[in-house]
Amino acid sequence: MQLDRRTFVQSVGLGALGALAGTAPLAAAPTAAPPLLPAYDAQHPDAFWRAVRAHYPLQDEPVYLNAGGLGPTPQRVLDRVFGTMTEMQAHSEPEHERRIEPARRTLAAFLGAGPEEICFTRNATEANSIIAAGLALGPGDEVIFESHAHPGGSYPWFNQVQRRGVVVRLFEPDPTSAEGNVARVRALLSPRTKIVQVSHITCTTGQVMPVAALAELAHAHGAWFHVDGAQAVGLVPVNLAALGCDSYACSGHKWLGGPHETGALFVRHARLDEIAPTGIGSHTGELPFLPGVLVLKPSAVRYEYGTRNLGLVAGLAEAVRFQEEIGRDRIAAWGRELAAQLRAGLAGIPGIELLSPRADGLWTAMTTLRHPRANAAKFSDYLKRHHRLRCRPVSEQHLEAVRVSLHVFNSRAECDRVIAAVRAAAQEL
Amino acid sequence: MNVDRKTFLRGLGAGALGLIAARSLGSMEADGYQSAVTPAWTGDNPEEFWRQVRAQFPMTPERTYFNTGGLGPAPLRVLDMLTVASRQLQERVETGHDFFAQARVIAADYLGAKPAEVCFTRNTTEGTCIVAGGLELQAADEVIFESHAHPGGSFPWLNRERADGIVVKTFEPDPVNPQRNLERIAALITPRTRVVQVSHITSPTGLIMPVPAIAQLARAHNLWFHVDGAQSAGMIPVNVAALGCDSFATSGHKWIGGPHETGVLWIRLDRMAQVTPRHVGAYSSDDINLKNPGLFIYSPGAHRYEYGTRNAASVLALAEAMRFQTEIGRDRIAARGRALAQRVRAGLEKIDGVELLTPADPAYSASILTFRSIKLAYGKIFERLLGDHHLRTRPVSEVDLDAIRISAHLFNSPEECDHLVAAVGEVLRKA
Repeated sequence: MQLDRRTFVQSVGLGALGALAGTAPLAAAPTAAPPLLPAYDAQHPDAFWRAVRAHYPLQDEPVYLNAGGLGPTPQRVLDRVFGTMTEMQAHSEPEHERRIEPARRTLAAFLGAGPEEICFTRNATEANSIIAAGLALGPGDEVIFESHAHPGGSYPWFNQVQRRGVVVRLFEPDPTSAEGNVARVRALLSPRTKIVQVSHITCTTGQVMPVAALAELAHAHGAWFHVDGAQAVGLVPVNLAALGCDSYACSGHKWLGGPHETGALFVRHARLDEIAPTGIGSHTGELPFLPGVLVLKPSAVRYEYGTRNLGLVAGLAEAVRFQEEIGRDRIAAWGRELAAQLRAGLAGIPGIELLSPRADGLWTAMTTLRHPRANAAKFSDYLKRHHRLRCRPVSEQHLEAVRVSLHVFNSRAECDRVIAAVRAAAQEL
Repeated sequence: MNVDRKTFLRGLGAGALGLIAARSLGSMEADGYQSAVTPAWTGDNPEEFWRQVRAQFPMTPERTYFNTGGLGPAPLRVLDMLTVASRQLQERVETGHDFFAQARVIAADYLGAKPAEVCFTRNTTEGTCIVAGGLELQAADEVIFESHAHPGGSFPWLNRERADGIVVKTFEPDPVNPQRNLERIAALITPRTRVVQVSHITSPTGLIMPVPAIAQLARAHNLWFHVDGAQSAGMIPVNVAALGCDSFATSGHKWIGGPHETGVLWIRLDRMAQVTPRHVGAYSSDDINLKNPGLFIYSPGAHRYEYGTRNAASVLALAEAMRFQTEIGRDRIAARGRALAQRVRAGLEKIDGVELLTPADPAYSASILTFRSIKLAYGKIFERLLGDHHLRTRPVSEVDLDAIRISAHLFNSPEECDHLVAAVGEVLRKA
């Protein structure tokens, strides 16, 4: 009746690898080293961005303007995914820690977190779900988040409304100022408020939320502060130590350009034990004997379980490295520069309404615009059919708009195409 | 030039899934799809057939792999599907979620289920976590499972013990007369019992549980009956309708030969409402009104347990692995694994000091064979088989079994089995 889990882990992992030490080393990835990016020349930035664009297997037409929905990956990320897979299939060894821990360190450094604060998830939704399901909550406990939250951010809480009688309090984002959003959250605080959540950048209009100020407010009130960073990581530099949140959800397959079904969750180490794991299995803890007391690992690794696709994890780390080579500030600045060009062009088109914030510091590389007559579906369909532009319709909260995401692989010429197409739409639709 | 859904389907999905005879589509081949042909069975020369099967697995020739029960290698055509589908989805920047419906039909057929009862998971553990986390259980409610359960089978319940105070009761599998496992479970049932779980085939010794009989017992006591099928699906044909359980979780990356981080969970449709999703997101609900929260209407069918952006290429490749097995013949695969395991058994029986832990009765064992020796510690046997003889087995430390597990699958050969037997003989002789 004794089940020695420690030995189990050792025997399938370290023991096997130790005995393998005498055999041939793993083959190198079968792909050639990726081409280097040229040095950035401020006098000729477009040449640099064309070189970046050449890294993407993304087809040229239609023009892709939806990194906020699903981001394409650079070829070297795919090479890393398949190279890892090929190596691993040859030996069929789990190699779990050997491959997952370096990637964890890479991502943690990228986010300004400790490796023990990061676990790999399949998407931001899973990260949001781990928080919503894992916090101790009872009937009447309240959670505050913005009405523009993505389903991946809101559904986990609505599920708790159903399961545990949690009460959701929504606020409409104030597009005019950071203080306005702090005030709207403050107005909803009550003695029953247990959680405040915001999107770091909203998926509807690309608005930057005042995360650090909201962290202070939430903590002064004793609430857990969770951030859905699906639209922020890879778009703007993120430093979790500076943001001050208790937990933060990342998507790998949007702005970061990682493989599909990748993401991460940050949980501040000091508050780890407040999030009870939902999914649990190998790698999450130790159980010397069965029956016995399961001891969870003292890090966010406890939220991972079972066999994972380590090629995807390695691909995500590669996506991080690619962004760091380009330069994270440079990525954010380029997206804003393109968005500024777009905004300037749209400003003169009669009837076209800009829904994204205008105030400095609140807007990013995502621009959401509304047509005076066409709804979201009609407007986006027109742009795709007649101008071969792939934008995202924004039908949430009856916004009836179209969102244009501009990222490292987009160009000024593409922005001009969007402007011309919207001008045509204003007349033809 | 407009890449609409139909063009995309022609380029990847329907052809790739073989739902229409379009495998030779140029776009697939241009992308390096190798369109490997499944070897045709010849009764005259079965060994040649199995050699062709083996040639489809890109495994190193430097060692012999007997650990499918731990992590199963995938055939080339599965890896090609993964690679090509990933690349095509990346070029078009599509999630490929539309292909889940087709893959779900294939997975459901493979398990003898309805498509609406199947969801795609990352591994068996997730499937068992969805069931263990989703059932309404109160403090002191009891769950019964075998002491040989894999961590992926036991931890999800121990997590409920930790969080909600449920009580875990375990029974030791009877290796001599596995039918007695039914009695051992029956002896643990009390008025507080809510759930029975067994491994369809146990991980440490490859014992086949009498699942249909346990299902009857569970039904008679109105218990939820969950089966951990990590070691069965892909090793032997599985028909969940015939098994009679309420839920069945399996991995794609063991015996089925799918990509890493794939799995399937089946939940009986008429009892699905009892398993509340713990994790939800886009696709978990078709209808929710942010203005009137409070009622979260789950999507009909098991895809309610899926959420957010997924890796459709992995799911397509898992379906491809299932098709590969179906084309070879699942009875044929099971018979091959069993014959190889029996060949090892016959060889090991002749070696002094070898004790076989897997039941001899073919009704209660299949392609796994577990043994130990009083002459040498299992860790040493494992290391010498690997280091001196390039044979990858799996050490079994669970429950102080201190043994070695052999998994024999469709890519293994009689020669490899003979090599293994000879190596065990030599290792023990030198001990």
